[in-house]
Amino acid sequence: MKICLVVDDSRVVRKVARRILEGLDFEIAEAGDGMEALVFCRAAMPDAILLDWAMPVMDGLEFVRRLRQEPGGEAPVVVFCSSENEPDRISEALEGGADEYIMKPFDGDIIEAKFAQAGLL
Amino acid sequence: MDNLVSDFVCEAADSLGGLQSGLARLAVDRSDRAALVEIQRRLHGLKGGCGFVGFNRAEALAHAGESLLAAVSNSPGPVSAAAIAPLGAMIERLGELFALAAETVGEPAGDDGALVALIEEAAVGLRGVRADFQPSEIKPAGLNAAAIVSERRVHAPWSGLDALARSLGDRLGKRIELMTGGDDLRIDPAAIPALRTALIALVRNACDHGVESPAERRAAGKPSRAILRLSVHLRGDGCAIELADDGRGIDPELIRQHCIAQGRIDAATAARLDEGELQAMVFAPGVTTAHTVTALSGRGLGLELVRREIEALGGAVELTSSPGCGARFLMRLPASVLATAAARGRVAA
Repeated sequence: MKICLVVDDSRVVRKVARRILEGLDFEIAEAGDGMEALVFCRAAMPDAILLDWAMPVMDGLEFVRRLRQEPGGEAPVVVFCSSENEPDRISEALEGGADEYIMKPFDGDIIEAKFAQAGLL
Repeated sequence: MDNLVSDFVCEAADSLGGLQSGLARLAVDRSDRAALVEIQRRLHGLKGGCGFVGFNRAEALAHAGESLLAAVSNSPGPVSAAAIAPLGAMIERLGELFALAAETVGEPAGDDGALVALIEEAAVGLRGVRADFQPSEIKPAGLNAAAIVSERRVHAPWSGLDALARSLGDRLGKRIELMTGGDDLRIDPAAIPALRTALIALVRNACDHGVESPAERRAAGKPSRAILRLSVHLRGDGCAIELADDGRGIDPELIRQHCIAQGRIDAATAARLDEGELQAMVFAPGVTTAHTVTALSGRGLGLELVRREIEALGGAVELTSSPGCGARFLMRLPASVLATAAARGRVAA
């Protein structure tokens, strides 16, 4: 079973993501900020990471940049999500190492389509 | 889902606490940029959550608040007093709303129009200050399609179209998501500008004219979020690129009436045109798929431009549409636009 790490400071968002991704047969791990996520990844690299932008302690952009420097950190497919509509921010995320981008609020169809596109399903 | 709403209301209470203390810090020291950043982060998180539980009032308030905060953070110097009061009123209203929501486990009804307008006015006021300050920095968000697309990594003619669709949707009050899929193929760099121009015009056309307002979509039994699907496939010697939307479609009868009204064809000729021929007419100069000319409208030039660009590449474009269900634009392009090894192999063979 593939593992997806859901990184978001909102428990509500993590819960929604968990429901959707469990339905797509992922095993779910959760982290409340970028630092927690980095600690998780150092112990066990997940197959996919659903990543929020604005978080306390370490934001999503900083996390993905640091992840990509870690040994094995190139492997996970990182899907960035934010309610931002700013194209600058999207390109910043992609240049920082994210593979895909989705907008909040997401739903099952969007996640399924983007994960399929990213070769995760 | 009730459980999710309860979780959200608890989390919202926490966010509100953060917002209140942030604003209190800012009221004491209006140069406290760290407090401003904290308020922005809290409000952004809160707004993100609203979308998942359908709290539309709170989302609209938070959205207005974010515009004001963006204007505040872009203004030089200490935070303007004109911004503090509307933010305070917003936090207070959100507090009332969430207190009721905790009892009813749902968003209470109410009208925040006046408060949203007040917050937005404050934002506009601050942006005005900034416009005088550094006019070159003001970007018409969502309008400069080519700039938006070129800002992103450019690998393919369709890179960045998803961001463009979202920006246009945001500007038009519609929720639009663009998905890309199909074969992994590369376009010859020489063909990219023409193809990009055509795709941008098609995406704009779909966002502006194809996709209905969320209310119209709900009334038609569709999800309020519209999906544009861009698919790219190797086909024969060349490739096929299709952009399909799930919007209102293009009614052949409207095209017929439009062509007659413009004196393009006479009524007798128009009566003889079949559906396919009428759909081909949308690519003629001056024909528009718009019901009304909007701020973003191509004013009838969009699809003609698409046809010209695609024909210049040696390709062809056609429309198929069923009214109410959406429109599909199919572009067929020759092998000369491809840069993939597969295509080169095929051409050589």
